[in-house]
Amino acid sequence: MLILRWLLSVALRGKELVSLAMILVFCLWLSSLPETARKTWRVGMAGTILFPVQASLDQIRFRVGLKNEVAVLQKQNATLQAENVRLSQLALEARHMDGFEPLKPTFPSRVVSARVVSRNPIRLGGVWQIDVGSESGLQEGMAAMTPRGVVGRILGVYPGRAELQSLVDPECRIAVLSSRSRHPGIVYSPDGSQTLLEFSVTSDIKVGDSLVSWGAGGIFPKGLPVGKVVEILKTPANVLRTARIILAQDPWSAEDVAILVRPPVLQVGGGLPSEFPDSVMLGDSAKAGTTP
Amino acid sequence: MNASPLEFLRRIGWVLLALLAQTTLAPRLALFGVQPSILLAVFVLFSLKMGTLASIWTGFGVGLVLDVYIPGVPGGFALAMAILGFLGGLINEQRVHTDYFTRVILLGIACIIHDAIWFLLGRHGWAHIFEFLLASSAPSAVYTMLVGAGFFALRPPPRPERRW
Repeated sequence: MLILRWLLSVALRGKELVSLAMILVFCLWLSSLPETARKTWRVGMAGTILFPVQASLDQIRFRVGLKNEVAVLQKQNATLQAENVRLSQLALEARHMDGFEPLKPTFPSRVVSARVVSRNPIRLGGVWQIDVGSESGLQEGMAAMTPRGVVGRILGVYPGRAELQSLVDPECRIAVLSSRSRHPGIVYSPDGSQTLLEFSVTSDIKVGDSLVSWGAGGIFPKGLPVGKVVEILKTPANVLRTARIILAQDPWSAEDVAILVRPPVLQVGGGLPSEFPDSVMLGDSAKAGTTP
Repeated sequence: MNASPLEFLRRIGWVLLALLAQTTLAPRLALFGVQPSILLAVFVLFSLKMGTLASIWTGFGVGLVLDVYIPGVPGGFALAMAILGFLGGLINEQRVHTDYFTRVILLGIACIIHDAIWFLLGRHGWAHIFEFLLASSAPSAVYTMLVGAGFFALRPPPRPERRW
């Protein structure tokens, strides 16, 4: 009894009972409506309250879903782009490697493919690192080339890597012949950027002449393409003349190189033992002696 | 009650969230056809914290949405929820200290009261009310008490203050 009196006193102090009475009357009225009126009321309430709320929730869900989908797609796009770059690189490497295939039968010895993995930015012209070393049979002095032409030579060999001295290194020299006149000269780079040909005043070398390796010194086999004469420089009267040339293979753009696994034969005049035929790309007589 | 408007809105938000859960999640939690009333569990907690007036009108609003949403005689849910809000508000935690287990039992009683009001206002008559309460309402009340026990554990009642 005490509890009931307490509840009543609490309820009467506020507006609670009035509110409750109003709600009670409303609900009783609502429940007493005929079926058609209830239906009308339900449709009206649904259209007024539920549908807008539902539409708003749907809109939020749609936008959140769209945002999540965009995030997922962006992530997928980034992944696909990275994969695309990787595949493009692989395709490029495959194309480089394919370029060696037609030349392999013409090489006088076994060929090892290598990738340039670093370039020394300090040394002009550069001594580069390639990713194969002594385990592949590389030795100091072996020639490196691409399908376009000579790149340089092996300077040092270590397990798993080797140093490659490019033709534009100021300390590199290569004896060449004019493919037209068969007159010799020496190609060098004085500063790591331009490449020059030094030849005798008596040599018949003209602009446009193609230059191939002479084979003298035993490092580079005879007949490998080296470059092309583009300009005869005007120098004071001397026994030597200079021409500016363009290398057949720009060393800076070489990514994959082929190393001719052929020990250098350091004989005066470039004479080679019979097991290493020295004339490549010169004709059938050279191909006859080619080893696979 | 002393709740700030922001706190009040936050608690209303919880009730509306429970309403959404009741219409979407509860059918998936059904065991042998018995569903828990997530809405009632949250609403009882709301009324114990917010007091009478706020609970009456919140209960009425939520019940009205249920009346529109669920086919049947309209008004039953609105009146039942409003009365529960009133009763829960009378024993709100600023006036009466109710411990954890008392709250769970109150939730079970609230379920029975809610179902009884809804049943009577739906013009089902007095004849089958006990059968309905025993067969349908009591299992649901027990399940709701179990679910509510979890909710109440998340928001434990405040420690009673010494008033001497």
